[in-house]
Amino acid sequence: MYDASMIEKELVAASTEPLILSLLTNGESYGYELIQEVKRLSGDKIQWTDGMLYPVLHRMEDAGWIKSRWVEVESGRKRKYYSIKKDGHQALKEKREQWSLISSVLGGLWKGQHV
Amino acid sequence: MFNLEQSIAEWRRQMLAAGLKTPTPLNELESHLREDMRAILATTEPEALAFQLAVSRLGTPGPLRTEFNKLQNQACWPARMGYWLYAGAMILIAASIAVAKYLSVGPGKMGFLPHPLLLYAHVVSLTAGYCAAFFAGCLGICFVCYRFLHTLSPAREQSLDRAARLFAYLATALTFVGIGLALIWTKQQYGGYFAGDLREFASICALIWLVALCVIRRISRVTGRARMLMCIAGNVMVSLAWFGPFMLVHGMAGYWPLAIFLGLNFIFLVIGVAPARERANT
Repeated sequence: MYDASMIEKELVAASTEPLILSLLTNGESYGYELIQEVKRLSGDKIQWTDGMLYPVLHRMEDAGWIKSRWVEVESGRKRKYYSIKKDGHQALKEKREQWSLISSVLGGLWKGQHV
Repeated sequence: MFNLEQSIAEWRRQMLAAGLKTPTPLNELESHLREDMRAILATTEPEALAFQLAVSRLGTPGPLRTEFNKLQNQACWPARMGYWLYAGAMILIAASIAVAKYLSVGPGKMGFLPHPLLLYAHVVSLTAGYCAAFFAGCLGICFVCYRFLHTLSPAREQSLDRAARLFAYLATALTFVGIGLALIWTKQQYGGYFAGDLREFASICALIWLVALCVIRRISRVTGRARMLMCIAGNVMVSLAWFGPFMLVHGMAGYWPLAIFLGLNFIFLVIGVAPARERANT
């Protein structure tokens, strides 16, 4: 059944990079943790297909926005941690301005409107 | 009886068979799978069920392979062509300069005298540096054309910007090395680092521009368009640094292609500076 409260997949896709960059400004993190954090912050309304996060992370790494390193966590298990780079902060700044603009335009249009 | 390690090995085989060939993404996906399994097992699901659930959440191999394959083909064709052309041009330049030196100086002297070798290395590195700056400029022109034709996607812009950045850094490093070699050669020949040649001044001007281009990329808050336009302006700077001194000595007559080149770059700069037009779709 369609759940109207779920965010549409196009919007989820468009918001993935700013979400990742914003989360990484709080410190380095790994894919699984990023997914759980987004689920928690959105009250489960933003649902990423788990595996699809990784091509996005790799693309952002190729673009020079983030960097990664493998860390051994316990009993030989490894996790790939990502952290934001200088260019990533710049990219986030630009994305933040774009999203703020869209938000303020929509906010202005919807002010006083009753849906 | 369920065996987790066997199941993961089987899952890896399926992923590999589906075309996910590079080990890094697969290791990372496996790490994720294990994380998710641990979380699901904490809610007391049976291990076999937890594995199935974690695998289904991770996604099917086909779409995952498609997404990872997109990363391999991310460079747009002007950037890919630029890399290949530059590599080819460098081999050609090095070979032609070597042949020219061989013919003019002779193989014996080339092998023993340090001065021609130093000069040869200077000419090759400076030529390679200037060529890299031209490639960055050409990518800037591609950017302007894509934007003018309304076909500039974010992926294309990113690919062009990345390639232009690489060429700009390469240009700066090679020009720096080339000038350094020239200083040493001048010192050996004339006893001082500068011989008062106009070309020395011109190459230092080009280097200052290239360093500024790299520094602005790193520290200043400039848009992608401004970065690409600066690369086009680099075409003007570097061509003047390269051919300007000869032009001043020999006159404009033989240098009409340079005038055309500069004129074209100015046109692209003007088009790039102009605000984007609305697409006429009515």
